[in-house]
Amino acid sequence: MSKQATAQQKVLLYDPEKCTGCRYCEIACTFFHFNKIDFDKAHLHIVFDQNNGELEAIYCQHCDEPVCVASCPKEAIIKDKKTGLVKINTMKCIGCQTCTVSCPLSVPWFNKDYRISMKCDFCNGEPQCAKFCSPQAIRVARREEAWEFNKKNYP
Amino acid sequence: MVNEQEIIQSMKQTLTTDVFEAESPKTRRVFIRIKPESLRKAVKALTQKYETRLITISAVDHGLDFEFLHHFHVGGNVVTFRSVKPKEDNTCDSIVDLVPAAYFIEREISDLFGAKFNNSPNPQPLILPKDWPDDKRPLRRPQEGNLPMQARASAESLISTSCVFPVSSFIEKKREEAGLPRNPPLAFTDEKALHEFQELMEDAGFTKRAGYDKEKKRLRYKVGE
Repeated sequence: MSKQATAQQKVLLYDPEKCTGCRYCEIACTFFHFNKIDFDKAHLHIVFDQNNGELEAIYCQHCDEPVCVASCPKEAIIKDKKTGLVKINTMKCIGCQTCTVSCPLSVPWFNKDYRISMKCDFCNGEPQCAKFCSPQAIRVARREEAWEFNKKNYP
Repeated sequence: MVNEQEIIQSMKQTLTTDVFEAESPKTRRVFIRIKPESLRKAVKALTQKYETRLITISAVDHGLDFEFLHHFHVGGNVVTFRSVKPKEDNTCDSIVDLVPAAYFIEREISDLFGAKFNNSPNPQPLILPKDWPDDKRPLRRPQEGNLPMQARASAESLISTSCVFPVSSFIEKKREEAGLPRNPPLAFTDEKALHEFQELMEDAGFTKRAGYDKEKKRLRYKVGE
């Protein structure tokens, strides 16, 4: 992808200051993908730090140069050239969990039922987590906006 | 942004003869096979030159050797240093002082495989109980090569003397009938011929696959029952 296309790519953007920690995003995610509510099966997670009361989300950034793609031994993970989304081909995945180990956030997770790795697929362009987040703590934004946000909040 | 060929070139320039082989089987994936004694040098060179993150360390027990794979994340690329150490040595250089994240991984490998890490700051067990016996490690395979028990003595004899079994009387008779001397000329009677034979065995990869120790002139594992 060119730099301009990367800057215009749609990604998820999380603002911990707006987040209430209700975990509705996780519920929406699992209900959309598995038709049931199971926090362990969510593609994103809200982490609560009990010591200082801070919240943080662990979710796929659909990186520009994804390490999961580079490390996959079966080339089951691809980065879509048009949309820039990183997706797992479930027919090719062998469940070795190399992607889980290599990802800095350990976003891909191992589904014990299907014996393959799974990760955020951006819900066919309309992420359910962003749709159901009432304070809009997690929302869809352009990557350039996310760059600016991160530069400001995580200097 | 750095690409895989740049990393390979840079590592080859810095490590020169310490690199056996460097390859990139696919985009943004690099494997560098290095001498085990230059592992620390390689890690130092990589971490100083690029912004790196240690992904993990894997250990593979090949029976006669340990293979240690140090995986690094370098600007979107995954770079792996492969180093093979004989099991008789049973050690690997610790990189904790260079990459602190390796601390728990090294201790876990040490627990599961029984390999010791030189200069590890705290070589205490991490996941196994402290009184776990040294000789029973969960993922350690017996120190044995590929050959089945019945073939080991023959292979050892073949590599060291170029002779497997004595020629039977039937063969002797047949040789006589064919107008040949009763016994064939044996390679081990001639130093030069034996050397040539052993070189051929080595070129064919048989010496390595069978796990033959050239200095001790025997297999590196138990030959008999």
